[in-house]
Amino acid sequence: MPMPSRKESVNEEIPTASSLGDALLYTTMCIVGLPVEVQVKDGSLYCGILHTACFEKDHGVVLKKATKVGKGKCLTNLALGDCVDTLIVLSSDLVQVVVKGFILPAEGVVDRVSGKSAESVNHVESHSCSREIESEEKGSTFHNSDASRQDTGCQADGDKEENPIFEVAHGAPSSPIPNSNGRNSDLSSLPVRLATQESEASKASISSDTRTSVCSSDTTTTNSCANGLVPSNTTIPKKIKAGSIITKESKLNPGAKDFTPSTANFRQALAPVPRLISPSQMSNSLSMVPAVGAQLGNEMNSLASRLTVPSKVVPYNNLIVAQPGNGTNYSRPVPNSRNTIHATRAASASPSSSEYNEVSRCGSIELYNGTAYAAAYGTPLS
Amino acid sequence: MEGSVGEELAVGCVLSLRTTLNDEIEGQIVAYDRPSNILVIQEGSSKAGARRNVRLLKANYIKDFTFLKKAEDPLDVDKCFIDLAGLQAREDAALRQAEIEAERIGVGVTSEAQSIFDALSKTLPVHWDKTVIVVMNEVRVSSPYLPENVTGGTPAANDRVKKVLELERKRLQARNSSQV
Repeated sequence: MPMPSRKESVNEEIPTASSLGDALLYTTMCIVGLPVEVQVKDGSLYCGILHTACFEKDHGVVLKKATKVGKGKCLTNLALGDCVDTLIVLSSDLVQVVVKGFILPAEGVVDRVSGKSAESVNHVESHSCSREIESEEKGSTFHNSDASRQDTGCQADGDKEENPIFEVAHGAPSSPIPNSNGRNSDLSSLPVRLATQESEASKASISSDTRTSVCSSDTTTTNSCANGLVPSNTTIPKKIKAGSIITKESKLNPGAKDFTPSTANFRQALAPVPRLISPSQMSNSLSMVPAVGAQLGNEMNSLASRLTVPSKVVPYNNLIVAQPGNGTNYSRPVPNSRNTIHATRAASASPSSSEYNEVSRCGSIELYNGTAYAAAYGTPLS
Repeated sequence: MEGSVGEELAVGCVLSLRTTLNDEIEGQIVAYDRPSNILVIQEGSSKAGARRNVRLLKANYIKDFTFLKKAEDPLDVDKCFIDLAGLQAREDAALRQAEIEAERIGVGVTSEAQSIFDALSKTLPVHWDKTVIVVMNEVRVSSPYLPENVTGGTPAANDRVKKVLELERKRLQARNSSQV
């Protein structure tokens, strides 16, 4: 059965490897942040939040808050129901990644996160883009999104999202947005490459914590995976709504209130756009990114470079448990028992147990390679 | 198998396949990445309200498959765009939610204690302090989580927690007895 050619804007070439890789990359990007189930070759099933994935050789999938939900054939010291903060599943062990209740958007995704569970992103509601902004860089386009999305990116917690989740599937009818010119048919393709940049990877491994080097048998390739999804010189289209620009620009420049939605104005507004994304907000959860996560473009690269990720690598029970400073510094008034347990276990190997008291329950990384490790916690005794 | 599968897996086709782990999948091929041998499948029907899954499956784990029908390529990468900020925010929110849910789980406690905690959490703000259930940041319920183990807090709060605890324990006992 011949492989049908994809829709090409200009020519009708047989799909190249890059375009096919783009589809996989696009799919992977769409499911980042969603709860997924990863099945490994022994049949074990792990459920967690997809942090990043690279399906090239010697790379893998990284899950956050991973829980073992299915038992496999291999004997592991990660029991059913055990939870780990970061689980790395190598590509050689990977069978499949399943995202339940999710429809792959045919024409892009603009995701807004409300204060509700992240599962709400799986519900499909159709809207069209309101506007586009032509980028100054390589002709990539910017798209408007809902005003609250930018705010949500900075203040995802507690925001009341009035607009529904932005997801278009198969050309479903979309509701009009004021001042909208509809979807621009001249959208550039997703300018991402799967090129490996080992030089950047090596820099990232030096600057970031050493978890990756410990947990992976191949630091360079893992980090290259982490950085190889989107090279630093690649631009990715962004979606920005005119309203958000108005709101933000009014704060930045009081004189910018008379904003008229036109392409020329969007070009001018292009410069401050990156500053709309609060690095402090995103950096908290990016502490793991430079180590094992993918570099999701220039913005992520710049954010990652600003991260300070104190880390420790502690040999523990023949396991390598890295103790990064968890970027998700959610304050809790009551010291958690997990921290205590974790500190107790790590204290014997750590020069300073007080350092581990600051580690949240999510301070461990597990690498699945058929003989998985466990820093189990959170499982009530039966 | 890998080469022949690569030739057969045309994008857009609807296949029914079975994996070597005996999973049965039926869906449309969204993409196939030859270098990594990953198949992207959109499961489910196009009916409104139907639960649809997306699978990224390694083609070498396909045991057998059946061609059902041919359809158009569902994905046009030329028109695809991604909101990085939104994705990051989504992941942050998911992590926070997972953190909140993980906080509800006690460490080193019995399943009965966890059930009591879950029951109390329905009507009262509770959190764990090691193996002690702390209610309203003042009343403490320690093992074995009986009404007489309720300490602290104002008399009114203490009584309230005791009453709720008694009620919840009765419910749990009734539920357990009905299951037996």
